Amino acid sequence: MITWVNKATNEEELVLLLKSRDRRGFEILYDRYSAALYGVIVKVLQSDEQAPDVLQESFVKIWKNIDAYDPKKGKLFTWILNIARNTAIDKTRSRSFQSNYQTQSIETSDPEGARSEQMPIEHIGLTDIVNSLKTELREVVDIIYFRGYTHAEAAESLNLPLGTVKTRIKIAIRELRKLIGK
Amino acid sequence: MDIKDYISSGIIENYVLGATSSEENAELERLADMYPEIRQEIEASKFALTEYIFQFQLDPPADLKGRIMRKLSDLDMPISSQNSPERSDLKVYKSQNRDLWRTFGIAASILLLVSGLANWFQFQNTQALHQELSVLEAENNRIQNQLQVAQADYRSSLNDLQLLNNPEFDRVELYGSDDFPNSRVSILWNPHSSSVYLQVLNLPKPPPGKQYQLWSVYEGDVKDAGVFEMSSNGFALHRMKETDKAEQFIITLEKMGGVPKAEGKAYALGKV
Repeated sequence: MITWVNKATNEEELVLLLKSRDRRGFEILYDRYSAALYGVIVKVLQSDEQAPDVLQESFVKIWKNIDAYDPKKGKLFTWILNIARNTAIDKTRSRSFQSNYQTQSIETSDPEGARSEQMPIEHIGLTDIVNSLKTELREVVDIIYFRGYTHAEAAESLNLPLGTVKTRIKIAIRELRKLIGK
Repeated sequence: MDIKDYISSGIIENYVLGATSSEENAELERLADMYPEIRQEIEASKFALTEYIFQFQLDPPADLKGRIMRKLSDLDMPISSQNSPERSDLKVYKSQNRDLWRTFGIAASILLLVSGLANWFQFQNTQALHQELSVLEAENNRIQNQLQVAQADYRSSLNDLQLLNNPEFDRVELYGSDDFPNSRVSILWNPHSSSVYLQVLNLPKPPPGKQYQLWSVYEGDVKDAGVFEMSSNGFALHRMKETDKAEQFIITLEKMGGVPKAEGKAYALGKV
């Protein structure tokens, strides 16, 4: 019997619990990361209306695919973050979502108008890190990470040359590394 | 390759954002395994991005955890024993069972229908066979009768043939009188047995109420030898009255049934 399960369980132990489909492992995962995942989902969907469903769907995918997670390839959080993000992005590309959010959809029929609009102002309290990042850098990171745009799509949407997009991405990440002190 | 140039190209930053192609990803993974500096850059960039993303964290609705955990428990049912996995299996079993009974029911219905149809066809068939049998029986009877008639005719003909070829019989040809020159009748007479047979070769058809009668003449004495019908079956041999003595045979047309003494005209006559 596993007796060491608690809030202090390290990532290695947590992965073992998850891979054995232990309910306690998923409770720990939820307690630790649900807010981060939920925040990303809301940011991708630009709404919290369907966010609970997407979070549940993400946990189901984690449950079903946990065997495919290889700790050597990356951290657990990075892996589940990608699942939640991709699930949310898939949702925005689904027909039902687009019919509900036609005007905000990334697949709108008017790319110049809708795509070039600024990311909506966050409805959550922004921290220093986010506020410290220049808007021109944030918008590139956000549109690629939270909306799943390719470089080309981001360039078109932001009305920037492709090279500028790549450069701004590089600068943005380096700024973030400075901001968090690494 | 210059690691510093590669690092400063910005591909690592794009990689952690998930904005690189699968080919670029593969190359980067390969280089990261070869060069610890690259691995370090990747991890540092990922960490920075993750920190940034963490800034947007938002508490989900309070009841969501319970909902998701129940959902995961449902997924767990097939493997774990804590959530009565048999239930769904039982449903499947029952469902299969129901399907089985329904299949049996359909099969039984089809068999009953087929059986009923078979009976009906059998009945119809039997009826038809009965009718056919009746027809065949009637036909058989008819053929039997025909055969009996034919056999009688054959025996009669055979008998006639034997008579005609019997050397004991004398053949007497009767020819027409001056009034009826075309008449022709043959008489077969056996003087030893007194048997007399008559065969009409040609005689006028007698009028209604009249009948031909045969007479034998011996030493001026005329004796009745009997009447005969003009048979449809031509050339039939008619057995006449026995006659032991005769010099001549005469055929006259008399009233129906014949007369004791000849009254009518002679139609045919011939000498022995």
